Amino acid sequence: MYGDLALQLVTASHRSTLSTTPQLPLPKYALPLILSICLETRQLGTSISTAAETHGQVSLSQDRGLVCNLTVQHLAARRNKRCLLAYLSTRVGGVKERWWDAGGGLAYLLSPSTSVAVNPDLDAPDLRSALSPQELDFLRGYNNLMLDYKSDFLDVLDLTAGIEKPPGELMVDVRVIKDAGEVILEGGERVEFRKGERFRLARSQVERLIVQGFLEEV
Amino acid sequence: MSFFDDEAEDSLSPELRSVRGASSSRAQSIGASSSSFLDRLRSTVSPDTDPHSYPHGADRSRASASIFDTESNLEASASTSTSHFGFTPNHQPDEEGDQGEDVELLEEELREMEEMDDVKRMGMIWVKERGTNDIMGWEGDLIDGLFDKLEQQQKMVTTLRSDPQTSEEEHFKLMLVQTEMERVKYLVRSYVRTRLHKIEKYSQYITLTPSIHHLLSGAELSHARRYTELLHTHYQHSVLDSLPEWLRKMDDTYGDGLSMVTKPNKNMPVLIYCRRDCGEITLEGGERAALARGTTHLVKYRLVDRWISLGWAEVL
Repeated sequence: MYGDLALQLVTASHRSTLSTTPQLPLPKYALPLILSICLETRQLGTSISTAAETHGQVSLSQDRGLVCNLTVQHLAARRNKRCLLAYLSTRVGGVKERWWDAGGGLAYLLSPSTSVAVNPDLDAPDLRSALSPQELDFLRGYNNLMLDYKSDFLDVLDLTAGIEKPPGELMVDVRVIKDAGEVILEGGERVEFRKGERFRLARSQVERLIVQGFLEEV
Repeated sequence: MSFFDDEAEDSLSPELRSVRGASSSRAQSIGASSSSFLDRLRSTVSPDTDPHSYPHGADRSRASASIFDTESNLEASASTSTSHFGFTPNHQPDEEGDQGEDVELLEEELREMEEMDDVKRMGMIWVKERGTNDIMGWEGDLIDGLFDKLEQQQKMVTTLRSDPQTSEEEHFKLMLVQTEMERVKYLVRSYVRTRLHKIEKYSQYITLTPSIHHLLSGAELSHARRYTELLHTHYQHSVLDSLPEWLRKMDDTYGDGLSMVTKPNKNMPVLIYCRRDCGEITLEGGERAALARGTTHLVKYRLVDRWISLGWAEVL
């Protein structure tokens, strides 16, 4: 049946958006399915154009069966396109969400160790392997775009810091859960973060390290 | 004048009072040094950007008053433990009757709007931006003003922090100032990101509609253009290129009239508070509803967008 594959694609995509909390790893890019949908659409396209050519204008207005056939094929093709784009845009949304969650750290986002460290027992694919090459390009492009945009603000505030809740306290108690080495904080202070140690620091200075999972709020 | 006397008038949080009680014996000695603290604070602010005069004059700490010049803000930052904002839109009680004084009241209210300090206004436009899903005007002047003040304040705080003469209590005050700064930054950040989200969502619509370009800042507009381009390249490379040629467009309209270009849905309901009398609107079913001053309504955005953009109605 025309459109079955596309339906499969969007239902899978819809299912993956249903549980965003806690955030599941992004499902792998459904390349085989997408290729077969594209193939189906191309076949529909050729079938439509050959039918139109062979029968010509006259029969198109008389032969109602042919008209019906062409309409169905046409609609199926358009529907396929719509499903494909819906799938892609849902994924783009997911990719962007992850970018923001990671505080705009592209290298951190794509490093293979990230997802392994966070959930070692799950055999979830890390983000890099879940994305298609095109999506990787998009992510890189988006990263550049946002860097450009936020550079206007950077001397006063960091746009990519979290906005989940308004800041309540200036200082924050943190525990180091992953070695981060020596970090130079705002104001020239040098702090050596070793696993297991606890610090009391200004929230704005260590926000990024918390987001990236080096530190944990106590 | 004792250092803490003016603070007590401001009815600060119990914590600060306890601090006061604990150190009351020291308060006298600090009192002597407090005026020099204020002098130093003032001397670090090079230009006097704020024309307002303070009712408490020299009594108040300039550091906390110069930018956030409402007393409530100092309280808000002092009672941070309650962790909620001090700038919810203020509802004046509905003054009833007296149609004759209406004009005066309106003028008064407008003046009030103008005199409202930047942080309050920032809070209001932040709520407005988040409460609607249409593209709102970019408040560039306000943001620039806030940034200037933030930068200035930061300089001041850094100078005072590194000054060995700054006493323990003064450090505590500086902390309050810094907390308040972080909160303002949060507001701006959230505002900008809400806008970015909308802009990315409607990027194609924005690019194709020159009539709304004036609502965006230059950076936002170029972001919208480049984002649209990026997104389309992505779609093109991913699937569209392998489809038949007549299916490769990005701005088609489907048979059911659904366009591929996402537009803001103006039928979304908004919750508004009428600052002024907004006349009557005709609802969907032909019913009419009066938007009297001081009332709150939940209506479709399309019906009241004029009043919102004029500032006569405030989004909650």
